Amino acid sequence: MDVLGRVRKRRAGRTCAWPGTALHRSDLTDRAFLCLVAAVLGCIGACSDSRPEFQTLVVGRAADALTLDPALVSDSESVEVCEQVFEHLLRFRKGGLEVEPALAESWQASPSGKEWIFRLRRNVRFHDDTPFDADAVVFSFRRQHVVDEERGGASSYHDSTFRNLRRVEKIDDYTVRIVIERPSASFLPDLALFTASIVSPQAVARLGGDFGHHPVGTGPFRFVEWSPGERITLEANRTYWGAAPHIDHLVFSHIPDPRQRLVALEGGAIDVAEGLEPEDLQFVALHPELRTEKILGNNVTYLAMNTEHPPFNDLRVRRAINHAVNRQPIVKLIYQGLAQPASGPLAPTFSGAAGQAAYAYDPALARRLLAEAKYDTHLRPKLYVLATPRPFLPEPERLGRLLASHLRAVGIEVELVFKPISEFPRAIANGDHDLALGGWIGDSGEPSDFLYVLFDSDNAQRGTATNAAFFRDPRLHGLLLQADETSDTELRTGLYAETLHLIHDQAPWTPLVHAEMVVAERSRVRELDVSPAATLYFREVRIDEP
Amino acid sequence: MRGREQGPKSQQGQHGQHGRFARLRLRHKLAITFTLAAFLPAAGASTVAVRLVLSGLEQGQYDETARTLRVALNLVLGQVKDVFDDTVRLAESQALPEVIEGRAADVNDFLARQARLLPPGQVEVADASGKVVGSYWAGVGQGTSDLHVPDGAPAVRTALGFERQVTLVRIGDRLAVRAVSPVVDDDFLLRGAVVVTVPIDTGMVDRLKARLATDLVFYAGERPVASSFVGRDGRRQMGFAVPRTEIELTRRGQMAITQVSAYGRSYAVGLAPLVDGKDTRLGIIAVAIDQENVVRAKAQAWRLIIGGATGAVVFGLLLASLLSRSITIPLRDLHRGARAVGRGELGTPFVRQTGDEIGDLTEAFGHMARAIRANQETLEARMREIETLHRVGRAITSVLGFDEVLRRIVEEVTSVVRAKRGVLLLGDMDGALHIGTAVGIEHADEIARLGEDLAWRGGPVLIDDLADEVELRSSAAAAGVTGSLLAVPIEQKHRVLGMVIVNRPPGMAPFTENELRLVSTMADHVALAIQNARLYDQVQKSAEELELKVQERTYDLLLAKQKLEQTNQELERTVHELGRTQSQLLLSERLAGLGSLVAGIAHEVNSPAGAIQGAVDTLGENAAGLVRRARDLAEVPMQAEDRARLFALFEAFGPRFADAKVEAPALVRRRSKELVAEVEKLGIKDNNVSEVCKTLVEIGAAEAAPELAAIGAATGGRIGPLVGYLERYAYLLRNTQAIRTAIRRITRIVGALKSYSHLDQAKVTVTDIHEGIENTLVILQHEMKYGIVVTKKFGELPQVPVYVDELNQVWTNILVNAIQALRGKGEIVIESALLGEDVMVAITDNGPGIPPEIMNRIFDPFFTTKPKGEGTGLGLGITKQIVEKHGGRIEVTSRVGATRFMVYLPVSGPPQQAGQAGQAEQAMSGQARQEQAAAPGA
Repeated sequence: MDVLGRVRKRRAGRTCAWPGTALHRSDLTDRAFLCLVAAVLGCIGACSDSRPEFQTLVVGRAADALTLDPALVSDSESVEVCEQVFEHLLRFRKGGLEVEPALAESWQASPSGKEWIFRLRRNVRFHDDTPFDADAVVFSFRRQHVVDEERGGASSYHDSTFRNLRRVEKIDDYTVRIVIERPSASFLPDLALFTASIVSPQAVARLGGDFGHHPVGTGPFRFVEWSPGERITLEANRTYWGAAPHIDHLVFSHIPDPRQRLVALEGGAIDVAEGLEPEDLQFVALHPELRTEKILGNNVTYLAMNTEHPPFNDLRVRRAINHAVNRQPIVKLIYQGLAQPASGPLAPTFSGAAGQAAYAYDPALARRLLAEAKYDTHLRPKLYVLATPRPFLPEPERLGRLLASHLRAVGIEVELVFKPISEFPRAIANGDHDLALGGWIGDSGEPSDFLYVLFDSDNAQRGTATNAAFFRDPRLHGLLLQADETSDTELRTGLYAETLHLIHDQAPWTPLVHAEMVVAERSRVRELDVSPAATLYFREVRIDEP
Repeated sequence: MRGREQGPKSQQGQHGQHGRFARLRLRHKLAITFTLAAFLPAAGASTVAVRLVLSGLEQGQYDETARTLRVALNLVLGQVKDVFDDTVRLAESQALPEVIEGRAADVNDFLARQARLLPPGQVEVADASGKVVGSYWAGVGQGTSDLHVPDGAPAVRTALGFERQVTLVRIGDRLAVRAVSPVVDDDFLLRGAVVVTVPIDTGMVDRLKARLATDLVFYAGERPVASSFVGRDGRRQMGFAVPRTEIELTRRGQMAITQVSAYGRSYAVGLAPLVDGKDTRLGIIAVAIDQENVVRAKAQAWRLIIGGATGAVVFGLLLASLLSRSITIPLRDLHRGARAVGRGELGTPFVRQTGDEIGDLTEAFGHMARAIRANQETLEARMREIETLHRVGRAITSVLGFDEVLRRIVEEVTSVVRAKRGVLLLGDMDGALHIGTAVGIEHADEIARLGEDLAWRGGPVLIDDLADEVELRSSAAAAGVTGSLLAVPIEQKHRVLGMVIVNRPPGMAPFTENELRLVSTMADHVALAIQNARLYDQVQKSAEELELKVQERTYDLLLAKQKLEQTNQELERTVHELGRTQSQLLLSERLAGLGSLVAGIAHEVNSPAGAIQGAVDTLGENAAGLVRRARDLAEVPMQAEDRARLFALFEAFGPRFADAKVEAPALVRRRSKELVAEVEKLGIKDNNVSEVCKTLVEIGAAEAAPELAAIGAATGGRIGPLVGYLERYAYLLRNTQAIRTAIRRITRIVGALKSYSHLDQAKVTVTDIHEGIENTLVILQHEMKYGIVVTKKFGELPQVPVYVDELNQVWTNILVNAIQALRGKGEIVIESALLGEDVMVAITDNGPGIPPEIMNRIFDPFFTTKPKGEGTGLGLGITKQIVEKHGGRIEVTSRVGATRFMVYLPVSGPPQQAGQAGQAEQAMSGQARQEQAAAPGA
């Protein structure tokens, strides 16, 4: 463009020189002629200067969406598309986990913390021109709840969002009251989750079961087309209540092979690539037109010890295992550097988790502790491994073998049991395991999302347990309840820090790593918002002209 | 002279305003315009073409370069990937840990065996402590020592930290791809490290060129280190220097595209920075695309465009000159012709050369020139005629004699129409024509006969050639007239006075219609001359007749005067009678008013009279009663002293009885009860004591009770006879009082009547206006005593000289009208005020008002709204008359609820009366006095 710009300037100078010599006799005609020439040149300039008519951003992803109905989604690919089309009452601030107003402009809690009044944004319309109002909110909550119940509460996401919910009522067209069972700090963050998306009641009524293939929300992008297995096309919602997106079209392209995605990104076929192989990110780093965006995920990968099974009821054994694990090869070999060693269940993004110390890698100390605990080296504890790769667990088998090797080094021989994701949670819930290699992704910014679910005695009931260590500690339970009902942030952070300290001390887990999320993109793609839950938001994305 | 000098200057000023272009000749303007018209599209089109072609070329070149650069970059990254993948594969070799431990074959041997799978560069293997235990060059040719890594080098340490890494590195002056990988056994225990360094050299550049088909240059920093350029002599070129601006761009991590001339050719060069994984800039990769074709295409495009544009301009110029010629030549001819016409050369020919608008214009111009010429000729002829007419007119108005005038006319006519002969025939009383005067005529009688023949035809006659006229041929021949002939009758008021004949002999042009018209005009002049002559005769005759007539008229006038005087006398009589009638009318109106008053007045007088009658009737009764009581009183034994006290009491109370009020019965009962107690206390024992006390109270003599009781006690304990007498006495006094009151009322009415009619005041009297109004109100009292309230709002008024009785009639009329309008119930407000020189009296009633449609008629005589017989209809008319007689005026305004009559009277009094009107008034007044004097008696 620079080359062209100079050329144009030179041309303009030369053409302007002609009339002066031809018609020096008459000032008036001279001027008129110059005006004409200028007009002609102006037209030509304008014609050739137009910017590309449409800006399209293409995202390459490993998997296609399964459904686009927010009442049914649970996989991250589907969620990502839904999050562009739908909105919730609240949303997370860009890049963080604090909530900010979205479809609700303001809210207010009763002194008991059980009744919440939400004032809704006015003059918002769904993509099908249905007005957004309290009826839509009540409808959406009821629908998502009902769908959830029809499926028997299979989706843990929906369950956790709506479990505490008692009533959603319309007060007037733009005011809604939500009543919850007990006050909860996770209530507001829950309302910013995809599970609490607001759908167009009219579109649901019209489309019925087909709604999942023709989603209608209020979001910055509207659904255009879905060619299953190939791509999903969205277009900018020009009547969006906030600032309309800069790009005109947003395409989610399905390219299963990560190397293919890299090639497509390098060749310019796509603008953003998700889920590249960590090793391949080096090539992205070497490419002058590409860059990566890393975000520390709101997740944890852990080795849990079943405290109900001896010898893991012995604190010394648990601590020995903590000392036996070397996180460096895990990060470098398994995660290719795309992770941070974990010192506790919470990622350092939580203020309460900062400064948390990990057990140092010290095989000698581990052996000593085992000797103290009179560990029987003939035992063959079962290490259950979630065999299906997950964002927090890209190579479960290798990690399992690596852990086994580390444990072997201190004298613990484990038996590896690989379970696919369809069986793993049940096996864990039943307490079949002695050791378990798993992970957890938090959705909201609330520590209780981790601590309560993974450590509280409430969740240590056989058959439904999510507390893989079957860790029961009344102090912890008390602390969590207290924290959840405390609205003072500082106080709550202190309580959570205390809880973390307790967990560290009692060592029911060996926390391993917090996996990092990474997205590769063209350098001229700006303002891409990657949430800690690894969802991309394209509301403010723009593409710089080359 | 001054004006002429200014002319050209101001014209020049206008030229100046029009600008230089406006001053150009049309030919030049057209040429310029057409040139522009040809030039602009040519310029525009060539500009567009140049821009489109060049931008297309440049864009295409830009795009191709960018694309090639990206491909090159991806190829380089592909090489890097290959190196990495090979390195990782090597590090993951099952046998390698064993080899490193030294428990198997030598590392170098192992590597040599693997050579086929190794990346094309320096491969080194270190053990777990970082010591390099094996090294192998897998590339082309000989490896160089600078590619080796020493024991414990950073690359080795990276690998021993379990990290697999590939990156670009700069080793001295060279660039290289370096990949490292840890060697880990099955238990994930660290056994060693592999480091592979592949230099970016001519070998790699050639491999890339083979796939890209363009030349590449790698730069370490800004210095070329590897290039695919090979000179004509087969020697490899080092690569060209990169311009500074592009270096800057790459330093900022951007791609750049530019043009470079090197090795005698032109290249489009794409440059991209080479960075390591931590964004450190190591060098530049450049792809160079041969641009010869593009340069040639550009030059060709320029040639074509410039040639095309020039051709277009030349063609445009030619077309312009041709067009302007085809337009300007006919215009030039037209212009010349127009200027010739302007100079007066009306005969200039205008030839139509083209079929366009200019042709039309030329033709129109030809028409115009011809028309001007014809008009000019006609104008000249007309001028001659007018001059002739002028001369003829002067001849007629000059003092020449009648015959002389005729001669001149004939001469002028003959000369104007260029005739050889001319004759004027005059008709006598019996219609025969004879020669008046003639020019060039020999046979006078014959020509007169010809004239008679022509006269048969009636109207003006134009004959082109007499030889063609069968009827006239003989008489014409007799008169010796041949050729063309004009004969115009001289007519006045459809009477033929004679005929003008002019003749041109054969050989001359025949007469035209114009000449006929001219001769006709002459004939009119002749008629005028004849008329003048005849009029003069008549004037002479008339003067004599006038003398006679004047005498006759003088006699008539005298007679008329006598008649007039008689009539005048009759008129005076009539006026006098009218005056009398008016007086009688006035009188009868006033009598009507009085008549209607009489009934009221009679009633007013009747009631007091009735009262007197009643009083007189009871008077006797009371007198007899008094006598009876006196007898009763006398029977009471009484000391003289007591009697004296008693009569003193009677006398003292007597006058009070006359005015005693009649008390209310309740009060009477209460007072009498009290009185009974009081009287009994004093020792009175009448058996009807309560009756007696009641009587005392009734006659208003309760105060006399103590005295009476005292006297009664002294005379036997009874007061009945004393009170009985007192009662009768009181009644008697009341009777007389009633009679007196009645008589006083009668006296007052009569007085008012007298004062109202002012029987003794027929003259202007200075009086109080209010008095008159008050008197009138008294008279009308009976009309309004039930339900009409009169409110007086009198201001301060001076005494005013008025005809009192007539003015009273004014008030009466207005008030009676008001009373009648109110129909017995309502309010009348009488106001008065002094307004400047006038006294104003306003009388307002709140009756239904005067309908607007009759508003302007109410002062008309005999206009009335009352039923026949009830009113004369003269009332308000007379009122107005009387007010005007006082020099005042009356106004009325009316709406529902407020009818207001306003009478204005001058303070100075009525104007001085003069003459009979005043006398008539006097007489009327006198009559009225007699009538009114009779009325009371009746």
